[in-house]
Amino acid sequence: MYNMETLIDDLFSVKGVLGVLVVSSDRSVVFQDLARLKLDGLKETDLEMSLLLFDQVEEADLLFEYYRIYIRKCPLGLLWVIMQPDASAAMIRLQCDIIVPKMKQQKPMKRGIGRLFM
Amino acid sequence: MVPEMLSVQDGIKQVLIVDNNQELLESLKVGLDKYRTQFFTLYANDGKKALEILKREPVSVVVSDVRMPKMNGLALLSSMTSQYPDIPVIIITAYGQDELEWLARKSGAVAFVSKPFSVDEIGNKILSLLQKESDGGVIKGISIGVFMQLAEMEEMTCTMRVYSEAAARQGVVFFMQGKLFDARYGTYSGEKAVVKILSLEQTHIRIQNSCPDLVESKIGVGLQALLLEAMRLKDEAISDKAENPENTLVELSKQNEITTASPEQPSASEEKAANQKKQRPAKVFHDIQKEIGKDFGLSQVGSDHGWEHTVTLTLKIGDLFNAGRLKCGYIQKSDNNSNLFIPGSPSAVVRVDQTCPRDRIFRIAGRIV
Repeated sequence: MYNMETLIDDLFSVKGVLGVLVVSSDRSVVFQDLARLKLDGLKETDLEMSLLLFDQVEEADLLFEYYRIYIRKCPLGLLWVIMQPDASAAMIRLQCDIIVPKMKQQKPMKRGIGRLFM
Repeated sequence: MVPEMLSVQDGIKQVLIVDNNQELLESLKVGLDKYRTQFFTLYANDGKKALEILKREPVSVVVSDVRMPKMNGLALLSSMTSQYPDIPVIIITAYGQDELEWLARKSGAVAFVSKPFSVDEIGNKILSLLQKESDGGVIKGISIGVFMQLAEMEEMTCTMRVYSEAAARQGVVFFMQGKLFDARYGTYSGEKAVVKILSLEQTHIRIQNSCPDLVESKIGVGLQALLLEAMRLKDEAISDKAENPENTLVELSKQNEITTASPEQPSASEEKAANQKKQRPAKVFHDIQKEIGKDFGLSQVGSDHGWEHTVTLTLKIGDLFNAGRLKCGYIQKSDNNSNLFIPGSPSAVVRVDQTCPRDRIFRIAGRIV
């Protein structure tokens, strides 16, 4: 069985990756490492609404002014990678191609959306 | 048989000979005439005149004497290394001027010919330098924008000489390991020169597999931004031409007519703005298609309520992470439909297939917003 932290470390090895979040289909947080993002705090309502958007989504790639957010369907739910706008998205996609199948062998961490909020 | 009417348009290169000795110039003119299927010769009496010619003519090699009035060969060499680092210079020296030769070599001269010399000696030196100018090949029928993107992707180090038959002018572009370093077009350099070169039509491109060490990085923005700027200028020129076929400048009296239009009626500028807004999705689609071609399943999708809702939710994701303004997005749904969207009023939505060069499109879209 693969260790989730090790899998996620592969994502952080790509230059410009600032945060990783894995949210299950029932909206609970399976994994998060957002320490490099200077966030005041995440709003639960916003996250709920945003997750609604991705019910039918296999892959999404959003380019914002300060960050690029890559979202990928994975066996545990949705994998979110938050990176700098100029980070190599192609490398991230490649890393995700490798680690997403391995996630099948992962057990979800503690449930509850509360884990997401700082 | 040698054709009489060959020109630069036929790919014939130009060599500039600089010397104040009229007799020598005349004998070179006669002697080098046998190379006219490979290069033409231009002549200048001093360095100053040589620089004037370089400003307006595409020159591949300069052959210069050292001792000349007004501007001598070394001063010319020094100006050339800063303004035309890609043009090789052959220096003509008198026999036994080793110190001068050393100085000239240090200043960037690539070859020397000692007096007295034969025409073939100088002709062969010119030919070997001309060969290097297109050692990476010559390409016709491909847009310079496309080729520059290829150079970026392939991380090429090269010097591209872009000659436009339509404009009868040449521009030079320098790439160092895939990074657009500098360009020259007439008296322009840097970004302005790149934009001018990208606007050229009916081009053929000669590729040299090296970039002169002396070229400094002068380009501060990405290639995509410059491509878009060139396209914008082209579009503006076309629409100006269409709106004012006889005179591209809007007359002042006509501008006054617009500003004094009746308040009940939308003014011409308001109407134009409304039209532009209406046509925005089509223009975005057109801009992307122009950049990446017709492949990758590109088709335009109208922005409906569903898409506006998607955009609104996506904006919320940005708020969640303090990510700033949304520039563009790509969403692949479980029905395998993939769409790119660019927020706006209305948002532009483009259907693509999953193999589309997303990063490239993002860069284009990022500039459109």
